Amino acid sequence: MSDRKRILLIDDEKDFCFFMGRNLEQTGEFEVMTASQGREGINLAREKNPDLILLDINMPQMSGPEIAEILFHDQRTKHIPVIFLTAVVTREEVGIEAIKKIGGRSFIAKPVDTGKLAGCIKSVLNEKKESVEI
Amino acid sequence: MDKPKILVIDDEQTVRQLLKQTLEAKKYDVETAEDGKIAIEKIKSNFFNLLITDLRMPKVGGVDVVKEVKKVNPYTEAIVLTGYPSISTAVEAIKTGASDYLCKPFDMSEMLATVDRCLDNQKVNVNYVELSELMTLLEVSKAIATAPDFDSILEQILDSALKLVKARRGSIMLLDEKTEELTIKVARGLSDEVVKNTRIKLDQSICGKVLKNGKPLMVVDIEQDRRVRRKSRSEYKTKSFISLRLMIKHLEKNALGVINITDKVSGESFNKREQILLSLLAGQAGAVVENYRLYSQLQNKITDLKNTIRELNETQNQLIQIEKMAAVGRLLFDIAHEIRNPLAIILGGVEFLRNNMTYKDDLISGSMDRIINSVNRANNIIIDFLKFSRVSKLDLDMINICELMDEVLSMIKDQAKLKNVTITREYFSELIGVMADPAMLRQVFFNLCSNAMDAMSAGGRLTLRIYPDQAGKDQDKRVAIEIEDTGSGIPRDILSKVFDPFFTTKEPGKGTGLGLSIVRTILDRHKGIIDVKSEAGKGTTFIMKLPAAKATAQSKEKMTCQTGKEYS
Ligand SMILES: Nc1ncnc2c1ncn2[C@@H]1O[C@H](COP(=O)(O)OP(=O)(O)OP(=O)(O)O)[C@@H](O)[C@H]1O
Ligand SMILES: [Mg+2]
Repeated sequence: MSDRKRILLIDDEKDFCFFMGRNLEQTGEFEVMTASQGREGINLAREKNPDLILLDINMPQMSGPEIAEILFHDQRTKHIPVIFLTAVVTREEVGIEAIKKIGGRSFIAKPVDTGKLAGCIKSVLNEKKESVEI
Repeated sequence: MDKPKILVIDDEQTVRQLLKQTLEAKKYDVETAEDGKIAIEKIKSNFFNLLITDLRMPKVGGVDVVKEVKKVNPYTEAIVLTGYPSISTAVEAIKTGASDYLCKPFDMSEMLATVDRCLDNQKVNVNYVELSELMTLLEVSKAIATAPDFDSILEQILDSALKLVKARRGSIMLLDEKTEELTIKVARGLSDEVVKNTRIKLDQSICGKVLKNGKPLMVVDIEQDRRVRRKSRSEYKTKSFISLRLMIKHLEKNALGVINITDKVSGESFNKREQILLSLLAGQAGAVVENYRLYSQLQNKITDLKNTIRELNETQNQLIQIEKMAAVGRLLFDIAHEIRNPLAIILGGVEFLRNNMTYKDDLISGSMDRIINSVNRANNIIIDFLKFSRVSKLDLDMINICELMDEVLSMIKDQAKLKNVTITREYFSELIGVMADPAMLRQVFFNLCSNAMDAMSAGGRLTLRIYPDQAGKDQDKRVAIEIEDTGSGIPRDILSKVFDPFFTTKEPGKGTGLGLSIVRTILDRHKGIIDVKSEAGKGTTFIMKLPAAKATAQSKEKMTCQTGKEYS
């Protein structure tokens, strides 16, 4: 099971973390850890060095972009690709350029089904350089 | 008018004959009746302007005749003759409706004067005013009431007066209270020189007298009239004229003057009836103007009120608009957040349930599909909302960027006033064209102006500059738009982040941090660029460049430089 990609999901919606975490794991391709707020997420990222981080933009206390910024400036985590999640905007509105600016590799609008999210994760992981649009 | 018709009723033939001859000589149409009965028959079949009847007659007396004629035609005047002068007979006569009475034997000149007076009385009775005259009087009211200004009111009065008495020449003179002089304000049939040079001292003239005592003056024959100084008779160049006082209150203006009418088309002299008609007109004109004044005052008040209400509405609408735009953004943000998160959980949850079903059940997995469909449906509704409110499809059009900016300024100008922010437009020209989606560009300007306003909580200056960008070859000329504020400025360390989505320094609920990211997205889609210069504590300038429309480059010569124009 060591070939499964390790994903860190940071989202203040605990139920979302629960279901999406399980669903991703049940694809058999991912191992998911979750955090429901920024601090916890950053610590997990540092300790566990996940292959990829799914990061919700709109969170109380610390927002997704703020977390991304901290991760990006940390030697231990700066290499980890981030996919932003948000329930707030559609992807056309934000534009991939803007997402890149805040340290994201891709962007997923909630609600999202497991298949789509898994696809997005895999593309980001495969094409390390190019940002991925779904 | 036809000759006035008079019916003489007397049982004494000598009286009948004397009156008939005398009155016919005065161009009256005269009939006679020897008793009351015959008289009443004649009254029923003919119209008479005047009856002259003996009071005491056998069988049917004068009182009954008068009563009868008043029944048939209330406007017929009556003179009663009585051989027994006494208070009681006089009272009796007047009670029956007679206008006057004379004692027998009467003095013929007295008789003629009385006849004249009665006929005049009759004719000024408004009910008896000829239809055409009535129309003129009505018309003048209407015309005056709708006249656009004071001078046209005077012209209306004069023209109506001339029409009413069929005269050719006339003038309205108004009193200058300072110099106590009358000058001609409007005239018909007078030379410009006369109009310009006529100045009459109030105390020296006939007109002055008319003005002072308010009594109309009618000169029937200027050569015979002792009121007109012999010396000045020739100056009038007329035989007969009427002069009346005119009092007109128009708006805040109180005009006092006289109206002079002369030169009847027929060449005849004026008569009493015409004088009275003109008095009616003058009085009516004054009343109408006064009413008009009150009316227009009211109208002005109503207009003022309407304007105030409209302005209030506009202000309110603008405030609402500003509020709305901000609120809609926030609301959609919240709605999206509040609904799409649970939708995400439902979707994830259903998938989780499907994955963990211990046995295959078509009914259950079918139900799950339906749940998922509903989630997608709900989500699509929200996506539509978001698209609708923000960056939707690009709808390019040739637009005047100055006009568009002004639209946005009008939306924020009241807020600016409240915040003590001065708005200055520095447009290179009033018409600078670009190809753009007006709604989107409006959003851009609005977002930038809103940010600037937010940054100037203690007042300041918002400067808008629109000018052709000098750099670049003709085919890729650009238009530069600058939005400059004297607000808080942006600290150096966050300057690079302001365009990032969700980056905000505003307290939760105040800003979504999407304003500038939307601005950038829109500019990208227009092949434009945006840059920001800012110094903390001094202010911020956002500079945009958009591809210019071809027409702008061509009409470059026509553009005039306008600077420092303050926007209000
Ligand atoms: N003219 C300005 N002066 C000073 N700071 C500014 C100005 N314009 C933008 N900023 C800064 O940039 C941030 C981002 O602006 P942006 O318009 O993207 O979001 P916002 O105004 O905070 O929220 P909203 O989504 O309601 O517009 C602001 O919070 C503010 O700190
Ligand atoms: Mg803003």
